[in-house]
Amino acid sequence: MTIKDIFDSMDYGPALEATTEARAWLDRHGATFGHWIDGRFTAPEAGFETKNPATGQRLATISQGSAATVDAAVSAARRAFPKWSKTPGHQRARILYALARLVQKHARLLAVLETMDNGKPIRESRDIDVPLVARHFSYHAGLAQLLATEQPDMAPLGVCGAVIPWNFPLLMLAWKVAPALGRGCPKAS
Amino acid sequence: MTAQQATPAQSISHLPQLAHARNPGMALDLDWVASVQANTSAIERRCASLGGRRSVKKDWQAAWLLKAITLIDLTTLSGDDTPGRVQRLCAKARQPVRAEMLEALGLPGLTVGAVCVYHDMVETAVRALKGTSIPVAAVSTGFPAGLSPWHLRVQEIRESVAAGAREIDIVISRRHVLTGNWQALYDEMCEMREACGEAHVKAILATGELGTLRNVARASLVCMMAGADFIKTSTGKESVNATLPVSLTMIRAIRDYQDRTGVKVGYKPAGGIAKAKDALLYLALMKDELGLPWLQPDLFRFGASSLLGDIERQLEHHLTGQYSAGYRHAMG
Repeated sequence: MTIKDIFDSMDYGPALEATTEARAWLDRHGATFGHWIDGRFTAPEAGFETKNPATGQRLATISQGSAATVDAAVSAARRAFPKWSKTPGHQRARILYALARLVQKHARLLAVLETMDNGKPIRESRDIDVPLVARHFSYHAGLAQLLATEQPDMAPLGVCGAVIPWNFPLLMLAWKVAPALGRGCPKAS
Repeated sequence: MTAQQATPAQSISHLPQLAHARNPGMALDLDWVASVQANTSAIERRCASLGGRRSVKKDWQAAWLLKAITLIDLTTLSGDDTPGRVQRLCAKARQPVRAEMLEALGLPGLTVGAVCVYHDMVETAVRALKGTSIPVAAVSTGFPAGLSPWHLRVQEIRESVAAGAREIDIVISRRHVLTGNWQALYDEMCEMREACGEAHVKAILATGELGTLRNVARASLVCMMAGADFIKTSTGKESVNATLPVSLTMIRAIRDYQDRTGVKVGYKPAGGIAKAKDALLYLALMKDELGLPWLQPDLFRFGASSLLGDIERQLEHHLTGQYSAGYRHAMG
């Protein structure tokens, strides 16, 4: 369409939150996902489909975790614990701020994916969920820098496990991962 | 109905008379007026979310901004207006954006919708716009307060029409709305419409002075019943002028009137629309609520002046990727 065409028809054009980018991202990953353990995706195992509740369209195949998967994740986290728990607060903060910034940078993709996967309206995922995810990482980054002086008697205990509900997938992940990492506890979730 | 074509002289589409039948008005229906309500919190919520729901970018934004230009009533209503200022404004109306930019965008010869001035400047504006089909609109009837002697208010309309104004923006007596005297409002609107003759009349409600959205909705309806061609939010001189909630209220009244009578009445928000981004929001609102006919100059106008400069700046950014300094988009 030329500008003159649009001038006559006054079309809106593609929505910023169209699913094109998200579907392209899924395709680049072959629409099949393993688990993120020890800093990389594992090879996909037998899994189940996740569908877009609004359309019924298949989005991807996700690996079904087993006891072995959990063991592997916890072991990896335990291996990371000595180094991570001794990482100074300011260094932990830099990493958490980087995570917050990356969430902001890819906010639209994350919001659209969240809506496609979970079914919540884009207005919620774009305006509430994803901004809150970034804010939680920022908040705990800030807190990490203060813990040494504010709570000198506290120490990281070890690996934390977290259970994420269905209704705020990304946000509940952030709520649990950010504080744990901020306090020097590696996470298996 | 197509919008402005290649040369201004050929462009006639913004003459209101040619697009659709004029509002013939109807008898005052007090039951209908009494039944009108406005759900303020729902209206406000819908307007607050509009920016997030309707976002227009890239080529679409450029096209929408060009359309917005064709819908501007380029206005100067200052006590210190001079013939020179009006002439410069009319030059800007003829060439609202630099010619090479319009060429690059594929819409050479684009002009604004109209020029809006006080009575004393009508003749100057008509002369300065000769050879174009850009109409001159005159504010009238004791603008902005509308509290001068009644017979002089009506006479002012006749004199502006005689001077060459093809559109008249009248102001209503706000006290009729505030005291619920719908008959008085209807009568005065009828008389003002009659004095306009062939010229089209926009009824300025001064929504910032009407108190409630329900009053705005009722006043809109009464003015339409009395034959207004356009209903307009404000003079631009009130403390609160055009807002999205007031616009949504008036637009819904226009839709109700069309549903019951089949007649299309135009809408003009005026005052406080200075940014290109705001213009896009208003266009999205019109498109959503009333549809494509209300995105044309015969049914929609922006009462604005500095808006044009901001639109030009956005168009330049679209073409070059850079934001220019404000002084490169002077008003004349």
